[in-house]
Amino acid sequence: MSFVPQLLAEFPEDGTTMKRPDFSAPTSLLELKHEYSKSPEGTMLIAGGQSLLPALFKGRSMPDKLIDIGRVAELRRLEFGSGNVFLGAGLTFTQILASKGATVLPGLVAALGYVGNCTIRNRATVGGSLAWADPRAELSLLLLVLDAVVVTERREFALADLYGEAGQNNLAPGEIIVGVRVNGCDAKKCEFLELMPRASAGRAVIGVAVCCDQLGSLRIAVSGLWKPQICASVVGCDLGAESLAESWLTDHCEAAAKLADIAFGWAYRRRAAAVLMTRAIESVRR
Amino acid sequence: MTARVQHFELNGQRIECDAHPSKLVVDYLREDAGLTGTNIGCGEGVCGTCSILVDNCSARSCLLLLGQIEETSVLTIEGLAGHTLGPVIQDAFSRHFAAQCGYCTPAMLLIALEYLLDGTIENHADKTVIRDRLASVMCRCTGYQPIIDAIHDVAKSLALGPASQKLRTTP
Ligand SMILES: Cc1cc2nc3c(=O)[nH]c(=O)nc-3n(C[C@H](O)[C@H](O)[C@H](O)COP(=O)(O)OP(=O)(O)OC[C@H]3O[C@@H](n4cnc5c(N)ncnc54)[C@H](O)[C@@H]3O)c2cc1C
Ligand code: FES
Ligand code: FES
Repeated sequence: MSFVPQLLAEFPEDGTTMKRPDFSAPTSLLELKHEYSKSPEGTMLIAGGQSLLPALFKGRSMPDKLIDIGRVAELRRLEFGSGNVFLGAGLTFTQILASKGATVLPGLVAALGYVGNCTIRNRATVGGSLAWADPRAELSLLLLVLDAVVVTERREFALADLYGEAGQNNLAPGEIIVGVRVNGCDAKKCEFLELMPRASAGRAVIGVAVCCDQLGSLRIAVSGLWKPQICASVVGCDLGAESLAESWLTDHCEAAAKLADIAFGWAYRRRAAAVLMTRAIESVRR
Repeated sequence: MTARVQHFELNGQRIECDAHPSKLVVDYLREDAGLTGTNIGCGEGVCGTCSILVDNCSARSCLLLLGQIEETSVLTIEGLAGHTLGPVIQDAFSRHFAAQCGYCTPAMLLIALEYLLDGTIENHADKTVIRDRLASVMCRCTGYQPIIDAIHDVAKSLALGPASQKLRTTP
């Protein structure tokens, strides 16, 4: 018998209050699409399970079925070539960090290095991270400033369009993220900064990503202040880094619902964002 | 109920089991396999106490379903002594008093093995890298220092560099 009550409660053995979800692990994208389309409402995809499983435990509700995407080879495509990068949805952060091309995508090694810890990175995947739409997630913050394109089994669209105002994902029922593409990486400089390195379980307090293209135009994104991560471009601006950071934050302060944080107050987080943004702008302009 | 037989390797032994694929691996290990060396702390992915190795990579067994370890090789603390490096790491932990209450120790030993087998690390004897890796498991007693010293000791004695890739063997 399990020691921990919530583990028992989640998958009760008698099946009266909550049934264990059925489980399947298709081995091809075709099979996955077929399985998922049978009942997209009662079914959930599971990738690393590092966000989904804790949420299922807490929510005390279970889908009828879990489909594990871990065995679908098409979702583990990893391409780093001539400035273009494709990250398959099923790749884990550890697999990406261990690949020779990881440095081709500017800021990627820094951003993923902040995620949880090694054990979490061993299981957390690109698709899971993007779909979970955590307002503090590192990968989406970086990919937003890099203007990434999400590729699903049915369409392609800008990553910014994946997220709704309340921070939820806009995937259609049954839609599967196949991967994410970034073009023109060789012409971009990027800096990714977080408030402080964290041990084990803590989530990011403030994250900042700044990308500079060859014309000097900037794209800036911040996590930890608002519910969705906010990303916006700055074109033709000759303000100094500190003034630019301050005006960017002021411009967007009213834009969205503030993210609650019981440990770090709004004023502190806003100040930290201004400092990190200033440093990141200085770094990409150098 | 999904009727399905799971196949995987557990501490070097081929396993065929018919437990439900949505069962948590930690529950399978403790309840079905009788391997109670894998401890449970938080039960929600935070503390790392339940860590095991799956194909030489650490995983929280409280956030892992049985169906997800199909055709993999799983190492729990009970299998550590059978691994080439197991007794060396155990001995170093013992010499450095790297355990107090011992609750995190099974996980710490496996994280140490994963670290020492990791061929992407340039210098395994770098204490900053060791400390960073140990963030995977919470230890409430030791302050981590004796654990870092123990792993450092093993890395130095084995002169581990990128060549440690060659140690990647199944137990
Ligand atoms: C202790 C701890 C610390 C953590 N720290 C951080 C951190 O610092 N930064 C951070 O960013 N994250 C952190 N995480 C979260 C971790 O990175 C996430 O689990 C991960 O981003 C989600 O990926 P996953 O593969 O585990 O997805 P899952 O949990 O399996 O799935 C998440 C969601 O994505 C959906 N999904 C999965 N794959 C697809 C797909 N291909 N197409 C469509 N939908 C899909 C699932 O249905 C589910 O709704 C932490 C988690 C833990 C437990
Ligand atoms: S018990 Fe699994 S991480 Fe805490
Ligand atoms: S020795 Fe007690 S928790 Fe680590």
